[in-house]
Amino acid sequence: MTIDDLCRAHDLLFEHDGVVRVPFLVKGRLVSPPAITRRAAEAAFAGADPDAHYARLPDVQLLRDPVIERADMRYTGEYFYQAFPAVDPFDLIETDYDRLVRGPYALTVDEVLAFLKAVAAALRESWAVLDRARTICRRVSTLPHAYLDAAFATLAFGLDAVAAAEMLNNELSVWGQPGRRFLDGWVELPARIVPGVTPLLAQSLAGGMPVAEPAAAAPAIRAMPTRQLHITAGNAPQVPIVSALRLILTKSAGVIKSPSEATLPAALLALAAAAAAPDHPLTRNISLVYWKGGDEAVERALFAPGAFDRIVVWGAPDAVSAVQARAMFTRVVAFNPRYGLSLIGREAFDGCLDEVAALAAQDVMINDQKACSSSLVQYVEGTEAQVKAYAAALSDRLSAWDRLSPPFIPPVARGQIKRMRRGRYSRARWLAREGESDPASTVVIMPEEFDILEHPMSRLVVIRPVEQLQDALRYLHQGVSMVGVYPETRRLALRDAIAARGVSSVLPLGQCERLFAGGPQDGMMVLAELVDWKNG
Amino acid sequence: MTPDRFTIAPLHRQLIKATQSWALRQPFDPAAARELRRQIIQQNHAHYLNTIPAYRRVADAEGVGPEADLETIKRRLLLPDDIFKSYDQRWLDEADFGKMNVWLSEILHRRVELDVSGLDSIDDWLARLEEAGIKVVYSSGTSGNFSFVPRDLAAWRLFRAASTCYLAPLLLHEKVGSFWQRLAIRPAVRFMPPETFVRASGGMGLRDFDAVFLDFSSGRTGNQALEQALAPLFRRTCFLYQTSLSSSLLRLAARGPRNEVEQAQLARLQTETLGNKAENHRRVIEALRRAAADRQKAFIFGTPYQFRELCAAISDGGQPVSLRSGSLALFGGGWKSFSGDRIPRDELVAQMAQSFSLAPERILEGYSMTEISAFMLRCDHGRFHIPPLIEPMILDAAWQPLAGRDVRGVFGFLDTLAVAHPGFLVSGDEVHLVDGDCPCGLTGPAVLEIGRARAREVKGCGGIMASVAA
Repeated sequence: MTIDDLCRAHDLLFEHDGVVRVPFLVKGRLVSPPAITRRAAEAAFAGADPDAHYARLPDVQLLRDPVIERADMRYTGEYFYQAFPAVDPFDLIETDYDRLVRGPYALTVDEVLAFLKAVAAALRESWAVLDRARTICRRVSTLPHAYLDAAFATLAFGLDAVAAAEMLNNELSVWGQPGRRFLDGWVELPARIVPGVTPLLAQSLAGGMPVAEPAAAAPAIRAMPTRQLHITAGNAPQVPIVSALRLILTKSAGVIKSPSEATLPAALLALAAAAAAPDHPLTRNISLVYWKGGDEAVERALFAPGAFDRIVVWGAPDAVSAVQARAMFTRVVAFNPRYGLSLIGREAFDGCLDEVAALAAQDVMINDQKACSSSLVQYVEGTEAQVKAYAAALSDRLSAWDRLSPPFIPPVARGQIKRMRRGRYSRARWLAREGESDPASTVVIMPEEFDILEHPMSRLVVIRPVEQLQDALRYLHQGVSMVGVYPETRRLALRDAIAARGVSSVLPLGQCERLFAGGPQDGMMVLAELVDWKNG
Repeated sequence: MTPDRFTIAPLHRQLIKATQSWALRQPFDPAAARELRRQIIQQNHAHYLNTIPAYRRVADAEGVGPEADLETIKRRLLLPDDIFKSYDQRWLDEADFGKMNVWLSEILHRRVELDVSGLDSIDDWLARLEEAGIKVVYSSGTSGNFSFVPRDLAAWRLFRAASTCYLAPLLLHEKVGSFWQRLAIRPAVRFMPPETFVRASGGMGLRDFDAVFLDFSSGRTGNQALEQALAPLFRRTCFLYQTSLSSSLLRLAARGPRNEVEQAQLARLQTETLGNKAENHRRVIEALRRAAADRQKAFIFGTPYQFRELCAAISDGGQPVSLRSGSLALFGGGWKSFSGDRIPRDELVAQMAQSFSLAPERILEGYSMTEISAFMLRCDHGRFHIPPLIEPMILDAAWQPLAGRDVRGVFGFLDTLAVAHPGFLVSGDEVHLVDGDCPCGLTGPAVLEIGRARAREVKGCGGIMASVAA
């Protein structure tokens, strides 16, 4: 059975009159929504606010997205509908620990990697379905074509077994041993045992008690799989795939909740698992679903004590704190919203301005400026004339990106940019023309402080002139994820000072999207957070 | 620019007269009012274009000349309300009022050329501006970034006169005033020109009312300007805080102290507002009881939070205040930095009704902002009625006007009374606006619900968590 076979058998991921049926995976079971016509979908939103995005009928959930005309990157006024099955939260929770111990927890890492290979192969072999899903996404996604195409083209690479093995070996590595050993089972350690005070006291009892011999019970530790709930957010199509990879690699049972903007990549993964390894212990313990965030009827059950061992939340602080408040006895791993910055040293003006601007533009364009590593504000060390020259060079470079990949600037961002340039920041130097009809990137030089909350994250770069790069250190904090620095000598000189202020990554300018298997994210070795380290 | 004797231009006079008729539920022609607004707005546009640099830059960028029609103005020439805080905060930190003058000249229809020597506080600067014929009211955001809205004396008088001309009949129609006052108001509106009406209203006053303002006794915020204008109309006036709230201190409270001197200043403010809270409430409650004992009606004005605190103090005392029949309480301004103490409107009204022995219909609510020359009173049917002096708009997220008689979106408006500062504005509020006849007898556009413009959703794995400087 291939993904294509499953889609044809159940009429999944085919567009019918602006409606597409999207399946869930619920513990290995492929669950399809009931058939629904466009008229019925429209009726579900009758009387709702024009911005209403979600509706629920007794046995189907609906997402409604405005269609974007890619030629001019503006809304057409039409809507596109996705239909999903209803979710019963109790179907998603696993409390039979013995079943887990016999099932996914008993797998070897080699078996996990083989599963990944099979799923990735199923995705690669179903290019027609991927292409269909990509075409559907193109109708409503706010991501430009090029990014969307790249995301779908690399979906299977996200499940690469070699990189996955490196992740395991590096992120779970302790005691100088590769991480996979701790996931495979108990690992005895050459540790010197401290027996504790009580055994010493026991020796003074009448008749005496011998202190336990270290050799008799060698210490051993294990990275135990957990039951995980991943609540993903955002419109990066890769986020649910990354979450699923972490769930699979830790041999865990659990649930991935897709963000509303990236339901199709998760559905493709569900189909791939169901097609490639329907009876595999991992498939039978994974659920890939969607519900409207904040739905009490679903989340009350999922956040209840004992339902999961880990809750992974991507989202705003209020969403994270809401989860933490409700799941008091469950460990929460939070990925807060953060943003990226660039620091441009005066060396940029030593005959390489265009190259530096090209590197800086590259960091701006990470996930179309919507990733936590995308550069939103750039601190430039130089004279007024130099800063202007840099801004012009950056603007030129971003214009080239605009031509390569025309942006979609959503109405709310267009309003926000207008508010900024006509209001509080009207005295700043704006490089883009007001009233320009085509959506385009914008560069603005702001000698005064800027409230980062007002950034529209739509190809707008705020340039802050500084006398020396150290002056920018006062703007660094835990909310800054990434700082790209030019040139390398300045990066190395400032790296500790930047990192000490809470920034997670300090990388060369132009390389802020770079990844490697086993690297930390948001100050964490994430896989190590998702397993339970046991003594035994 | 500033005339010696205040006169209202013919178009404004006609629109104010029309607004008075509207307020009294007398025959009112919405189409005629719309046409008057259109003419004034187009005149204002040409005037702004000539005299207000910040507006001219927008018009130039849009390629719009002096002959713009109303639709063009609505679609292309709106400014955000935060244009009134587009100065550099460091200028206030450093008391650089020379630069503040230059900035103010950008949003006022005249150049501000004022000697700033010896000025070391915002209050001193505002006082000197007033001496030079520029009246500036301000509002403080929760972040302490003040909005300064400037008017010259002619514009200020026009604003005051228009407000008196429609608010007095609006309130007298149902809520305040004796039988004789209500009887006199109709012919007064009909036969008196606005300037005469204003003088007559001032002379008549509201002497059968004692007023309590849940605010500082002096200051220059929009509310305080209103309170100071109203205070002389009443027999007796009592303020919750018997001190002035300087703008410097208010800014300090919002932004935090930077040195020991500021810390000491802030401590004094906290003593007055928090340390003396019980005593201040006791004094206000006593003033209300005295009004009742004197058979005076009471008028109480404050923010929801201040009312909630006063109600709690009355409740703690165990004895409600029995205000005389005909008394009024008026709240408005939202919860601002006290949003954590927010309670539903119905609950607040129930607490107020209980505390002051008032019928709920004697508890009024108003909606306004420093940047608009109108006060929108909520009627008994839950509508904040917008006077015909204002051309309201509902905008989508990209600032394009939405058509319809029942629409939700960002609240924008064209303010006919804004003749000295740009008055084609987009607020930070998201509202539900309806248009049509109201069972209360008023007609035209009205706001049903008010909220802050929606925060952006977190996008991608990025997004931004909080307001921080960058």
